[in-house]
Amino acid sequence: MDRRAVSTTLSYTLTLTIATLLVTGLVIAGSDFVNDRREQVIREELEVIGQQVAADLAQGDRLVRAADSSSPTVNLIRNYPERVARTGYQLTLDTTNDEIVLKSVDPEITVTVGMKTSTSITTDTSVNGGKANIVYTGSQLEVQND
Amino acid sequence: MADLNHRDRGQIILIAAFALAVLFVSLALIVNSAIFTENLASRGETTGSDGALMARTMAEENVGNSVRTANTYNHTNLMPAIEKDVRTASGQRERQQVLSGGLVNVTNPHDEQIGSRVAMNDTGGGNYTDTGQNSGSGDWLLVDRVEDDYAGQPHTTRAFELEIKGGSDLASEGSLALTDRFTVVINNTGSPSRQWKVTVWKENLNPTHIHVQTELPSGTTEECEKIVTEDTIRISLTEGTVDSRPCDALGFHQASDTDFSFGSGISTPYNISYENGDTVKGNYSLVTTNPKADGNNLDNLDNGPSAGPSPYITDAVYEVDVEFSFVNSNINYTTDVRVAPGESDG
Repeated sequence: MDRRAVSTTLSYTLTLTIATLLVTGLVIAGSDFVNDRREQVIREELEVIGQQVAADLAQGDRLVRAADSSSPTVNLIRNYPERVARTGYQLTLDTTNDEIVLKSVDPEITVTVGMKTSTSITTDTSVNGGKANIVYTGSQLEVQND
Repeated sequence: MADLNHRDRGQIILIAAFALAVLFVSLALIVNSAIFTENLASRGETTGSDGALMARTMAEENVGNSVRTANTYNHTNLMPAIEKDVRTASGQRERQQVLSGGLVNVTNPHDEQIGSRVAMNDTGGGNYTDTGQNSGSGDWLLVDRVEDDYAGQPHTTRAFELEIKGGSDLASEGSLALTDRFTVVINNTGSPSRQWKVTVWKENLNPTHIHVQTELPSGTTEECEKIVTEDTIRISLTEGTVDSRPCDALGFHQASDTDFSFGSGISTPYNISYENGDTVKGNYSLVTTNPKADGNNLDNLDNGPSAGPSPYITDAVYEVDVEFSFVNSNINYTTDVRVAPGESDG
């Protein structure tokens, strides 16, 4: 057998190193792929939740406008999902730009959904995901956590 | 080559396999989340605000019916009659709604505005004259100085309904000039004098074709034509309908962007009169915000219904507020509802 200048240790080292490199590369690529999908799902789910919040605010607005008294009691009880793809999120009503801003915690993804109501909305209220109430305070609509 | 023990073969492959397995499981969780999102997106409105608004409309209609009934049959004891009706109707509705897990409540008629109802109501109908007889004057004042009670009151006359019997000589086109046909006139008492008027007639050759023409203070006119085959022609001047069908000449005309509804362009105080009422036979009824005690033209009107055709005046509720409540697991809606049945939409 021609085994001159061949070291067993070196063979092992080389094999293991190359194999490890290949496997690590595969795992990193796979992780990135999964994270990418996760981000996409979070984005979509936040958008859906945002649209639902906008629809609920529109409902609250309709009820306030249909009321003949100046301070009706309007209270909509809603159950939004508590987490999106295993991360919590926060809802903020931005009245300057007429938008609902949803922000997830980890990874940090921000989604905005437009909203339009006749009744004025309390500026810059922030709530966490989960159970929320849409309440008319007597002059403005507000989203509150339970 | 070292002697490899066959049990040690493929360690790296095993580790790689474990890592991939973990990745696939994470991917499955992500897909689960995505499916949930799609499901969430396809759900419709579930908080029930549509139910609340429908219930509010029904409550307004029911209380409106109570007010109408009380004004017609119980004018000496108005509010107690309305309160009793509202209690009964609300109780029935509550029992129905509680079966679907909710509460609908209508209570506490309050802030009522007592006005008066001017009407003629006889089975055979009377002439639209000041005595209800053919011999009476066809040009006469029905209500003198209709005033509003508070600033921002949208209307002061409601439920102005004409029931014209087919057999009447409802002045027809082709036999009488426009100025000789039956007209309801609203004119303000201040100066300058402005008039809103509506003229009703039928076609000579086609008596089922009924025409209604409105003239605004500015002189603009609008006419609508309806075919009424029934013997009795029902026109609601405040609701803007002829035979329960909307008439452009009594409402908002889209094409010209003009409002022809009852009293458009006339501000309080104003008078309501008839012209050429001797050409019409039937019944009529209207409710104004003027209390009976104000003594507005009681010369022409009887104090309360009497035997035989004759116009009369009684107390009537012009409008009333009720407390409306709609509660279920998703929504809590409580508000006052203002009820004034037959009021113009304009």
